[in-house]
Amino acid sequence: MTSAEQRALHPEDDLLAAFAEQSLTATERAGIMEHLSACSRCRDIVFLAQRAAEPDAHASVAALPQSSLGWRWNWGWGLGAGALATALVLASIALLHHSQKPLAQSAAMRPPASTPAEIAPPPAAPDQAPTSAARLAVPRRAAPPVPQPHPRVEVIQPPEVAAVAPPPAPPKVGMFSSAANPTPVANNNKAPSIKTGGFGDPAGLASNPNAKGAPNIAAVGAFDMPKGEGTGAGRAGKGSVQGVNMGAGVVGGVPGGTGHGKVVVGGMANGVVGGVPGGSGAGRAGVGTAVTGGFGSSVGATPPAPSGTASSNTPAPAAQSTAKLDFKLQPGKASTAVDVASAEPLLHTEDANISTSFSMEQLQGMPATLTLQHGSISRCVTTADCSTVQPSSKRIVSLASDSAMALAVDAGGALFLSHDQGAHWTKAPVQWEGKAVTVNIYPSPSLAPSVAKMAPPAGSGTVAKEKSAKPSVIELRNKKGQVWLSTDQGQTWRLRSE
Amino acid sequence: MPVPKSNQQLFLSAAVHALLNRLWKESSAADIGFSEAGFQELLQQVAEVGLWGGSQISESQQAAFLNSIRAKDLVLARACARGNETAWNIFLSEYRELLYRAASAITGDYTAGRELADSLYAELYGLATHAGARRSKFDSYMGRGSLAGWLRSVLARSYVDQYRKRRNVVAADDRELELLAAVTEIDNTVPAAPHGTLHAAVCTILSGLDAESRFLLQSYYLDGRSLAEIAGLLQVHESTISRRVKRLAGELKKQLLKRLQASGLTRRAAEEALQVDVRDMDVNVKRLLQVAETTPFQALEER
Repeated sequence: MTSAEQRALHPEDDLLAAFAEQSLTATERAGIMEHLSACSRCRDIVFLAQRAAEPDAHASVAALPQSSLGWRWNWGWGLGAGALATALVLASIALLHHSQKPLAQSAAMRPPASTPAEIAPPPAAPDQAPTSAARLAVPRRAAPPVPQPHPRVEVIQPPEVAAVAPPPAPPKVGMFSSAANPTPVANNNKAPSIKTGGFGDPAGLASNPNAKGAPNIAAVGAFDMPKGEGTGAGRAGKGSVQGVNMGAGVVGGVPGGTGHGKVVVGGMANGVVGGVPGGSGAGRAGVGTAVTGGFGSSVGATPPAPSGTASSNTPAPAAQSTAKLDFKLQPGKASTAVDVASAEPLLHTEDANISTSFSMEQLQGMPATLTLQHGSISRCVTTADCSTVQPSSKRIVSLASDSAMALAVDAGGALFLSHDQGAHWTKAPVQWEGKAVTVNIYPSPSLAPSVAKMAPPAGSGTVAKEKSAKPSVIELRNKKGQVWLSTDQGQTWRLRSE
Repeated sequence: MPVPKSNQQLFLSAAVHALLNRLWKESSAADIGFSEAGFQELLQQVAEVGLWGGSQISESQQAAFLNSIRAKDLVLARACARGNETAWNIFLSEYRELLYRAASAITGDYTAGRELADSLYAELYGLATHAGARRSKFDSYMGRGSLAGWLRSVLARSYVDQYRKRRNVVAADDRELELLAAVTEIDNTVPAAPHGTLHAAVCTILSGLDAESRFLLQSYYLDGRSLAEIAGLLQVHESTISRRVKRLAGELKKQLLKRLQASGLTRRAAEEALQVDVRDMDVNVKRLLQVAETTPFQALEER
C-alpha cells in the first residue's frame, strides 16, 4: 500500500491532533471516532501523542511559581515575600494534586475484573486464516513500556486495620491458700473484664509431702458442706465436679471441709468466686480442694473449714470421704474424737443407746470396761434427709437436730418438730413474735455430770442406757433477730432477754 | 512551497474577508513572509481540504471554520516549509524542546527520543524531492489542531511505523483494513459448537454497537488502555469513562440475555451460557468491533 493510499485510509495527523484537542466539528469528530473504533494503528497514535502531551502540562505548571517569583519580586520585599510564599504553597498543592490524582482515580474507578471477562477475546485467534492469524499475532500494545516523564507518586494505601483492641488487662488468678496476701474481692460495679484463672495458684498446686498420691480432681467429690459466704448458684452433687456457673456472678466458694475436695469453676461475667468469707481473711483450703478462678473471677479463695477438723495433712481426700464410724469403743482403745456431723451418712443405725454429744474428754473418765452393746449411734438429721416439712410442704430454711429430736423452720416461718429422724413432723406452738428464721439446738452444758451418773457399776461391763437429765436448749430467731429459747423440746418458749 | 492556486473562490463575502484580514494580522504572518493575499490563498487551500470542497458551505460555516483554524501555527509551519529562516528560528526556539520531550515520552528513552526527533527534522525540512522540488512535512499541516499536537501525532505515527517495521508487520492494520473492506458482512455462520447460539448473539450485538462504544471497548479491553488515558484523550473525567464502560458491559450482557432468551433458551440457561469460558467461543471480538457500519475514513472524506 502506498503512502497515498494510506492517507486515504487514515486521517491526517492534523485531524488526529485536532481530535485530541476537541477542535473538530461534531461531524468530523464522529468520522474520526468511527475510524478509531476500527483502526488500532490510529488509536495507538492518538494515545501515544496524548501521553507525550502530558509532560507539557507538567512543565507549564512547574514553571508557574518561577515566573510568579520574578514578577512579584520587583514590588518590594514585603509584598514579594508574601507573594512568594503564596505562590510556592499553591504550586506545591498543584503539583501534588496533579501527580497523585490520576493514579488514585484510575485505581478507584477501574471496573471490576469480572466484567471484561465476559466480552474479552480469546488470547489467540486460531480460527483465523493463516495470513490474518499471523498479522493478529502482533501485540496490540506496540509500544514498549514507556516510563512516565514525570515521577508518578505511588500512592500506597495504608492497610485497613480494624480497630485495635486495647491490650488485655493483666490476668488475675485465683488464690490458693495464701493467707499472707488475700486477694481483694472484685468490685462488681466495674465492667466485667476477661480474667483467666489459674488452677488455684498460678504457680501450680503445691505438692503435699505427706500425701500418698497425687491429688486427683476426678476423684474428688463435692458434698453438702455448709455454705461459705459468697456462695452463689449451684452446688455439685455427690461425687461430682462443680459445674461452670456462667453469668451468675458469685460462685460458691469451696466450703471449708473436712477433707472433702471440691472443684469450683468460676462463673463468667461477674466477678466473684467464693468471696473471702467475712472476718476470716483468706481461707484455708480443705484437702484436695482446688479452686479455679474462672472468667470474671478475681478471687479464688475458699472459706475456712467450719469444723476445724480439716487438715491439709490428710493424705488423700478419698480416705476421708469414706470414713465410717463402725468401730467399737473398748476400754483404753478409744483414742480419737469423732465429729459425727462430718461423717458420711453410711452409718449403721441400730437401737440408739447413746447420744452423740460426748467427747473424748468425757470418755476419758469412763471405766475401762465400757463397751457398747446392742446399741448404735444415731445421727443428726440434715437437709439431705428432708428438704421440706411434711405438714406444710414448704421448704426448710433452717434445720437443727440432735439425737433425740429434729427441728425445722419452713419458709413460712413455722417451727416443726420431729422425733423420728424427720419421718413425721409436728408443728410447735407459736409463742414468739414474727416469723421464725433459724433454729439451733445446743446440748446441755451439764452433760458431763449426767454421763458420770450413767457410769455402770464396776465389773458390770455394760453401760446403762440412760438419758441426760438436762435437756438440750433450742434457740429460735425471728426476722428481727430476736432470740427465743426453749429447754423443754420446744413446748414453751421465752425471750432471751427474759 | 508556494500555495497552489485554487480553482474556486470560496471566500466571497465581505465579512469573511474582514475575518481573514483580522486573522492575518493576529497571526503576524507578515513577519514571516506572508502577504495578506498569500494568507487568504493559504486559508482557501486549507478550507478546500477541511470543508471537503466547500461549494455549499454557508458564510457562517466558513466563518466558524476559519475561526477554528490555528492561523499563527499554520503560517509558521508553511513558512518553515518555504524555508523561511525567520520561521525556522521561531520554530526551533519554540518547539525544539517540546519535540525532544514528546519524543522521549513516546519512546520511553531519552536517546531514542532524540533520535526520533532528529529524524523528524529531516522530514520537516524536506530532503526528499518530488519532481525537483523539496517536499516538507509541514505542508500536510492544515491548522486544524495546534502545531504542537500535530508534531506529537507525527512523532507517534513515525514511532509506530518504525516499530512495526522492526517487527516485520508493516502496516498490519492496513492489510486488516483491506481484509475488512473485502469482507462485506460478518461471517455469522453459527458453528456447530455447543455455544452456537451464544456465538450468533455476540456477533449480532457487537456489530450493532455505535462507533464510540466500540472505541471504548477496544481501547479498554483489547488495547489495555487505562481509564485515565481514555479520559485524557476524550477530555472527560475518568469516572465518566468508568461509568460508560460499566454501563456498556451491563447493556451488552442484558442484550445477550435477551437475545438468547428470544432464541428459545430459558433465562437460567441463558445465564449459564454466559458463564462459558470465552476461549471456548469461536468469536473474533476484535474483528466484530472493527467492522463499522460505514467505511472508516474514506466515507468521511467523501462527504
